[in-house]
Amino acid sequence: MKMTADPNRHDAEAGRTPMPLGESFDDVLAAAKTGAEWAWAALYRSIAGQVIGYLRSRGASEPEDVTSEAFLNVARAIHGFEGNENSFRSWIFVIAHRRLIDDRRAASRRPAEAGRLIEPKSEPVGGNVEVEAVDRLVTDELLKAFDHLTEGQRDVLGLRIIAALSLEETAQVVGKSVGAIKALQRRGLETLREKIDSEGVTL
Amino acid sequence: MAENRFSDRDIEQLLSALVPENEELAALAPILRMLKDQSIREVSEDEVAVFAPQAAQAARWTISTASKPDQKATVSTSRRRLLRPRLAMALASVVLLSGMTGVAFASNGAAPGDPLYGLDRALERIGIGDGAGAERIAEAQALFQEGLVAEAMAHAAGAVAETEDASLLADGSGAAEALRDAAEAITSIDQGEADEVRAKVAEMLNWMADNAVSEEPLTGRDFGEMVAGFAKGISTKDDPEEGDAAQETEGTTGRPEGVPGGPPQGVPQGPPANVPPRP
Repeated sequence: MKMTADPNRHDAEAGRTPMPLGESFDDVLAAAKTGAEWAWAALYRSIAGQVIGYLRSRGASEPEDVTSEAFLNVARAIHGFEGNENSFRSWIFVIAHRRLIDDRRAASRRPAEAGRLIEPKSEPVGGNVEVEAVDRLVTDELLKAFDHLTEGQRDVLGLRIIAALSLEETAQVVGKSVGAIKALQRRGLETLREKIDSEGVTL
Repeated sequence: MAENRFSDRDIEQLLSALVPENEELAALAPILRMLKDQSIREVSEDEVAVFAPQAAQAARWTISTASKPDQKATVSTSRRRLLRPRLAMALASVVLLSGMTGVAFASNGAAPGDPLYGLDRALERIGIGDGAGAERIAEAQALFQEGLVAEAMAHAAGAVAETEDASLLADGSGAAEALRDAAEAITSIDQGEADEVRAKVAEMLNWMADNAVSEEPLTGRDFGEMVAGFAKGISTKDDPEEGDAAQETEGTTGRPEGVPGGPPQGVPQGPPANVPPRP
């Protein structure tokens, strides 16, 4: 049976992408270097949601703690940082990704646990329960397609989509060449396309 | 060579939230948007309220120690302890529910078996904080003196990891990971091996402490390789597969060049320009 999702319908519980600081970043950075609490609050609000989202999508055991520790490590070294908002974000994601790798190694020593790229939210928002139930099924089917990607492909697509990092920034985070990143994202997207076609889910 | 199904250009347009010309690829846009929407969340103001003071204090402490490069690493009993976020939230909830003070919590906190138990009880007794670099190594030595060998190793691993994070080192040595492996291995050693392991850990910590205050300390790859060598000698486990961890550090070239910043008029100034670099 073919299922169809309404691509224009958004779950009202969906996360909102935190806003970058933009032109105010330089001011915030300068204040953060002096230890201004408000500046660190601003930095955290602007980026932490994406870091937590990326770590959670990649199966980190405690994404909030890992995110906070990454920021604290940055805070200790902030006086030596010179750069723009993009390079600051890249720095945090490099640290967060390293902790993710550590987490995976620790997890490999524990009994195997099932891990999904993302667990869809289960409660319907309200309104037409039947329509929402169908949409929920379609969402589950679509997101299951990510399970067929390799770990490297999911890492790269997670950083490109959830963290909104550029090609070069993603390459820096995972420590691979730009060419390798291109290959990983291409193969990942090809696999997604094939799986969606074969499962009969139309978009 | 087989032609790629999707061009780089179309892929970049898709991942930049634009509409690619390739219809098959364009059809993936809703699922990518769904992945993003399902993953990202806003952090709560409670979380910000816990994090911001800790980060601000960490930044201020870094500035104050950077201005005193000759200050040797010592255990400071007067610094307020920086709590790990998970412990900070747990502390807040215990105090809220029980009305106990932080001091009371220290004696009524995590139970034996809790991964934080030994480490945090030791930190409470010693009265030291969560510093970076040389002070963290001193803290590891203090833990070791308390007999908490595995915790000392884990603390040292944290110090190495922080050093790497601060400079985005591409050391490829896996030093922090080796230390963590050793910390885990120590928890399962036989009694007969305990003295030998303790001696090796003491040797490593002493070297790290001496290096931290040396006039010409080893840094970067050299430092990492030395520590990794010590740690691998302590661990009884096989070296983990290099895999992604080696690739993630290999080729990392340091923070990217960006626009040099400088606060405009009226904005709180940063640290003095002539602050000497930390050892």
